[in-house]
Amino acid sequence: MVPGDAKNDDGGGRVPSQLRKGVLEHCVLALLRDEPKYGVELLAELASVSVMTTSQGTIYPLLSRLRREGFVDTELRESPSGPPRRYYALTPLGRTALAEFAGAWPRFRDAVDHFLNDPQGDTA
Amino acid sequence: MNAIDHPLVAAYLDSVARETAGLPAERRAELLADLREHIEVSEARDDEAVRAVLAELGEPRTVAASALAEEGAPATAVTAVPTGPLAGRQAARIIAVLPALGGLLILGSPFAGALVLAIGLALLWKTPLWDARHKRIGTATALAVPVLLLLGGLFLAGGWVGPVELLVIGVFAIGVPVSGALVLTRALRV
Repeated sequence: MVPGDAKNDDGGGRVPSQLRKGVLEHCVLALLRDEPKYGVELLAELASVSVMTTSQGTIYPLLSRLRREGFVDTELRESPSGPPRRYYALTPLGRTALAEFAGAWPRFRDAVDHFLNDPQGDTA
Repeated sequence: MNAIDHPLVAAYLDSVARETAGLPAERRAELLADLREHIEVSEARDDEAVRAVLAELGEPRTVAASALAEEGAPATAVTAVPTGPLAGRQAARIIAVLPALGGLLILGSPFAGALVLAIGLALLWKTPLWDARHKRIGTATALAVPVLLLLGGLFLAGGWVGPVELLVIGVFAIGVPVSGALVLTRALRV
C-alpha cells in the first residue's frame, strides 16, 4: 500500500508467486483462527504484508474453494454502516488443516534454510 | 452515487465476466457477486476512490486466471477459452437469439426457419458460454414454436379449437422463444 516501493516490493515476481501457491490458503486460515472476518478485512490484513498478495481480487476464488472444501463457512451479517457483510469463519476441519500446517511449517522452513545456508554440511 | 453503479465498476465486472467464460456458470456468478460485494462494502464515493478499489482488486485478467486455476483448468485454458471464436461478446449475443429467431421464422418461412433454428442450436451447444442447464432451456424454448405450431394445426384440423384458442397458441409461440432468448442473454451478464 506504500506507493513508493510498490514496484520492487509488490511480490509480483515469479519466485514469490510460486511460493505463495502452497502457503497462502494457510495464511488465510490462520487469519481466521481467533474470529470470523469479512472479505475486505481479511484482504486488507493479507495485503498489509506485501509479499502475500498482489491483486486482492484473486483471494475470492481461493475463499470460494476453501468454502467448498469445508475449511471455512460463510455468514451474512448486518453492518452498522453500509451493506451487509459476508463473514468467513473457520470450521473444525479448517482448524485441523491449520494445525497440520503449523506443525509442518517450521520443519519445512528449517530445511530450506539449511540448504540455503549450509548445503554441504561443511564449509565451502 | 453508490460505487456499484459507477461506470468503471460496471466495465470492470463486465471484463471479469468476459475473462471467466470458461468457468461453470455458478462459479462465475459467485466470483462476480463476491467482487460486487467487495466494492459495495468499500463504500468508495468518488472516481478516485473507485479507481483505487479496482486497482487493489487487480487486473480482471489476473483475477480471472486465479479463478480458473482454482477450478483446476489447465493453464493454457486461461488464455484459450476467452479468445475462442464462439466465446466473444458479440458472438454470444447472436447465439443467444439465433435459436429463438429460427423458431419464429418458421411461422413465416418453414424452410428458412428450420435452417436458422438448426444452426442456432448447433452453435448454442458448441460454445462454452452457457452451462448445460441454460443450453437445455434455450433449446426447449426455441423448439416450442414448431411443436406448438404442429399442435395448433392438429387441433384446428380436428375442429377442436376456435379463434380464441388459436390466438393463445399464437401468443405462446412468440412469447416462449423470446423469453428463452432473454434468459440466455441475461445468463451472460450474471
